[in-house]
Amino acid sequence: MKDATGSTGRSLGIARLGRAICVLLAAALWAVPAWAEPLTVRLRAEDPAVAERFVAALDSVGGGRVTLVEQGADVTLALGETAFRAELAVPGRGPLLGLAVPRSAAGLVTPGCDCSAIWRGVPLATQLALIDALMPEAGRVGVLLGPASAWAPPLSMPRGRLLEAVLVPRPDRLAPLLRRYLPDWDALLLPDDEALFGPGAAKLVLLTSYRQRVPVFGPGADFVHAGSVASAYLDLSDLARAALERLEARRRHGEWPAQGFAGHYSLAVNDHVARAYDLNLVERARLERILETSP
Amino acid sequence: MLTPARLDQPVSEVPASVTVIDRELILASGARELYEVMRLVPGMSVAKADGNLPSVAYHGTQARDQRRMLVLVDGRSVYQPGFARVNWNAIPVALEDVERIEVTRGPASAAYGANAFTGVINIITRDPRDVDGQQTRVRAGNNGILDSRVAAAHQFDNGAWRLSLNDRRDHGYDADLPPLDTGDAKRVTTLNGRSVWELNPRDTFTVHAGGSRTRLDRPNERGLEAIADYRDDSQERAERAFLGLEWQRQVSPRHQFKVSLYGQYNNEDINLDLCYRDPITGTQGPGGGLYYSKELRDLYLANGGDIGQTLASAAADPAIQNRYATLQASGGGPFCGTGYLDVREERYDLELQDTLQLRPWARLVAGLNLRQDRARSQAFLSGTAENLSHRLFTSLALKPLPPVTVNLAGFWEHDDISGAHFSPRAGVNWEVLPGHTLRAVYARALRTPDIYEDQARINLPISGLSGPYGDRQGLLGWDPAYFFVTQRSPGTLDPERIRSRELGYYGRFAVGGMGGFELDVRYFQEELWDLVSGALNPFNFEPNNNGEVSHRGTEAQLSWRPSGRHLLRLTGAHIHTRATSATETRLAARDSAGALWLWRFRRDWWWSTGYYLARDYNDYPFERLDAQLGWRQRLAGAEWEWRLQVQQPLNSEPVVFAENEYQDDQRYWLTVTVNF
Repeated sequence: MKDATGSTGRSLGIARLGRAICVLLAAALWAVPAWAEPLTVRLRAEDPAVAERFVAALDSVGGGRVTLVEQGADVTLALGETAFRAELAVPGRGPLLGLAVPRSAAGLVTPGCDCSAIWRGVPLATQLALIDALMPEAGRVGVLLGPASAWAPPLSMPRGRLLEAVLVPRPDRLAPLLRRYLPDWDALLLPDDEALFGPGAAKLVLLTSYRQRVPVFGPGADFVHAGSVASAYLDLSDLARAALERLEARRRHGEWPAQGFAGHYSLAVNDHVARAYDLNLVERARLERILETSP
Repeated sequence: MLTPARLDQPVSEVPASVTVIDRELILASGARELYEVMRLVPGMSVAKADGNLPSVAYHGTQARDQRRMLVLVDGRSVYQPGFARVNWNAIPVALEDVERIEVTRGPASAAYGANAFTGVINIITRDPRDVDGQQTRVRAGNNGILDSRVAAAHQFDNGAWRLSLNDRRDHGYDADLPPLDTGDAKRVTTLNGRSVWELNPRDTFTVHAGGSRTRLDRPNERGLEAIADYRDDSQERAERAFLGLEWQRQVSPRHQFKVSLYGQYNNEDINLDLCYRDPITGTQGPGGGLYYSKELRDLYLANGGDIGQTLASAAADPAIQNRYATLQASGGGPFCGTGYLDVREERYDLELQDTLQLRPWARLVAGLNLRQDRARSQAFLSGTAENLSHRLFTSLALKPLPPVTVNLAGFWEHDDISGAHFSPRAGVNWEVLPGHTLRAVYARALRTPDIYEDQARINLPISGLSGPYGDRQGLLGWDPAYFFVTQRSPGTLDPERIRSRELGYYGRFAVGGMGGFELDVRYFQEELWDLVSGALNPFNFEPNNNGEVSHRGTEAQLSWRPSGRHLLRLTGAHIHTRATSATETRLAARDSAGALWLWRFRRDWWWSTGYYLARDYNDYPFERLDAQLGWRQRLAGAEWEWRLQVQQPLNSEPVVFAENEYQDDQRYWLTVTVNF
């Protein structure tokens, strides 16, 4: 009886495995022709230097799946909000994918526009996961949000932690609001926001927080280089990878996936600053795994 | 963490156990006065041991003297040079002005020179660039508590300033419980200002300025009450001021240079308004003038300074008999006058400090310091005395391997009183696992005798004599006329010394879903020798270095944040103290503990509870429970903060001495703060 049961179990297992392999093979056979012909894309960007680097990243991660053309492209890629807005306004344009578009411009993607967008920045949950790993004792985390920030209130409250979002209506209100709220927080988390946290704000934010011994996380690699503890950020390779996924999805399903964050991020950690605050120097591989499981 | 080695280091790498009291802990403690937050430091003895004069001492020994710990405000020493003490009432900083307090637990003369003996408290005030708007605060409660504050801050193009004026009053210990029957109320007004200019991206210039004015009712001197009657209560009246300038240059990302200069001034006196009793009749009369006669002084000196022998033999001395007859024949009434225990102190201090990142694994701070201390007192010094000191210091932090930090430091100094001395310190920190560091520290330190200990010449003059007593020469035999008791320091005292060994652990870690923990445990052995243990007051003056003390014990502090709403902080110390003199154990509690819990139960509401235990101070246990309810709201364009605080002693024992007993055990107050 025992042998029979065991044998039956093995038979069932083999059968399931065989079905799974068949499904995978079918999927692969279906998918391969989809990319057999390189997709032609046209790139529009405000900054030629950034465009050049993006093309290099696309070549690198694309493996020949897309070809850049100027005329007759299957899809237009618009890098940045300005380019995205400009392309949307072109009469009779074709499919359009906005890249690194601020979340505040999400309203540009309307039903029937045959367009989608990949937002700038990284999700709040990803940055909070970094704080979890590096500074688990941070009970009160403050977030300064502007009208054009990558996150918008209400923010979802993480378990066991107080998350306080403060709206900064204009850049000139940043300093007074920092003075008012920073003493109440254990850590400060900044969203991607070109208007609020440009290079000029880095000195103000980082020096103010350092004087009060409040570690800063986010919003990107430049801040980390200047003195923020750590940040997940969207680099051009991540953006290229995300763009390829969107293109593939559209080709497969005939429609664009919903706009959203890229889903692929890079990691910047300032070990010197982390050490100065006595934060957990977590292995880089573990931090990168956190990014891989991010939304 | 800036304090232990003068380098900006993470706590896990500093060569000492440290306690950081930040703004959240200050809020949670509900403390009203600066000295009270020191209860959050394990091993710190904190008590109002002498009426309204708080005593704060790390590994406390003597109850009334706080000579063995250095207190800094923004790097400026508030350790008063003339009479070797820290007057906590007069520190011109309100708790609202404090950014954080870094307490180095253990000798730190290697970084700060003499008098950083058992530890260093560094009070870091708020940078004006981080302070917003204006603030007013009113606090009222039982026991005569009535405090107020106004503060303002302003940021301009390349800098900022802030200024605060604070006033606090209370009735002190109860006035109707003998022997403290004249009350010990206090009124303290402080002014604190700081301004910062960012001259350019590399240069920052800071000005610190402020002062304080104190009026402290003082209890009667029991020695004087034996021979005189008080006609007016004694009061300590003091004015203090300081001005500090600091220029900091970021020469390069790896090189920083700082020049700081400060001057401070302290002027205080205590009035002794007395009518002296006739030593023959025991009632007030002209014969009371004998206590200020030249003949009684001569007899006192002839008796080798024995007050009892002098008074016992006075009636038989012919010269004194003549003086007594002269006084009786003067036709004057009761012999009444005023003596002043006057103290005026000045300090000027110049320091240059250079911090250099030599290698990625080596940082060096070095500097020199020049300081002049001056003390003037008719009563205690019979004039003016000075002490000039110059110092060289260096501190090196090495990381030969990533998990290991080696800290080496030395401080050489020379002053006019004590000559040349060197204080070393060596420490090794080893991060055995991420977030877990073991620490071993060896340090030596010294406390140099203060100007009074070295150059005391006690002569208490009398003023305000009326009627015929104005002719001092004729009626008292000398002019000026002094109280017959006098003391003189031999000027041969050596510095007090301490040697400390420490093994410690520092951990900062998270446990599953239980939140974050920060734990520091310290085992220490300290030997103190050449201590000046005897009293040094006009009636009892024992200037010698015969005292010895040893401390051995363990301290721990734990902060636990189970979530963003809760903070729990536990501290404890168990210390064995042995001393050659009983006076050196008055403030040495064998067991002390504290617990503080802050609960933010709603967005703008919080509750905190504190428990403090010290067993014992001079045979009297101290045990108290505090509770606070706080609430913030926005109203009429301003932020209002309401805080109700209750302090409930858990026993009816006096504090350190029998006279320190409140009539009402429970104390409470309400604080209303408006930020706008």
